[in-house]
Amino acid sequence: MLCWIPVREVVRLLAWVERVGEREVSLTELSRNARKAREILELLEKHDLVRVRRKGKVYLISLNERGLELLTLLRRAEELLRGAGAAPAVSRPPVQPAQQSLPSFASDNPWLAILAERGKARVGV
Amino acid sequence: MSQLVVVGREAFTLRHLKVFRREELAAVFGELAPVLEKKLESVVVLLTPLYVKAGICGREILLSPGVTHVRGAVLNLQDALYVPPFLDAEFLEYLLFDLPRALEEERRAVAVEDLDGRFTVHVKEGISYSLDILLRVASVYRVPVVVYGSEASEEWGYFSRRIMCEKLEGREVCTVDGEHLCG
Repeated sequence: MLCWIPVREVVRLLAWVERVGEREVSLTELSRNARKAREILELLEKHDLVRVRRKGKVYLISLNERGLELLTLLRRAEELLRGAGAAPAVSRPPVQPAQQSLPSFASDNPWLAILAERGKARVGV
Repeated sequence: MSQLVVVGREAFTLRHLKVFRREELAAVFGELAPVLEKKLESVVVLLTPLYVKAGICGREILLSPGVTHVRGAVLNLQDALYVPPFLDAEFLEYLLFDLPRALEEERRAVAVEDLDGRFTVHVKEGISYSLDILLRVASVYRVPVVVYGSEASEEWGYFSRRIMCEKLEGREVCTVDGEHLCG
């Protein structure tokens, strides 16, 4: 069932998704105020955006697939905004599956291959 | 000290390997990458954030973990780890392989001078890639990273703080995230 989400809540959600990013964060990193941290976690869980696991006494929070998808959309929106008024948007070829977890700057970045070569030679695997 | 893993000719701490992106692990370690990824899944880096005081125009500011961009000024940073003046691939190699090792020995603020001049070819791509590595280093080791640069590096969107100083009518005016600091 589709439900209406207030814009303020959407903005809060996006801010927290951006803050968590691709990392695994503890509750304290969300907020030092335990009550507020719980509230944020509940909000993210309500919209099924995070996965939570326990390591000892520490709760570790990371974005699940939905959360990561939202993060990707958010970064795309940021790129669009940054490019506003510059060159008109050109439709891009579909991204190769292997590159999907790479950020946009990394696709076709020659330095990745150069560094990989140096790394391989250095490690000698 | 984080657990050590010996791969080929080199030993890495698991914390150091956390800095690598999945694609970098695959490109550098080849068929060993899935084994390392599996090992890294259960690794949680819990370090207390390192806050460092820095002096600028006679004032003191507190730098938190993350990447700070500085343009037109030099911060007075005590005990910072200055990245050697390497260029191009050598510079990137230092950031991904050697800088985390130096931070394993002692966590300190990191300073990178003249980022915009570190690449002789593919400048824009090099700057974005080096900033991406520095952001990962700052995030894993929870240290402040100060990057000195100009217009090219300033465009990057993930700086935790931007400090800018310029001469206006003969006096130096500095701003932090657009807020007036001095001058």
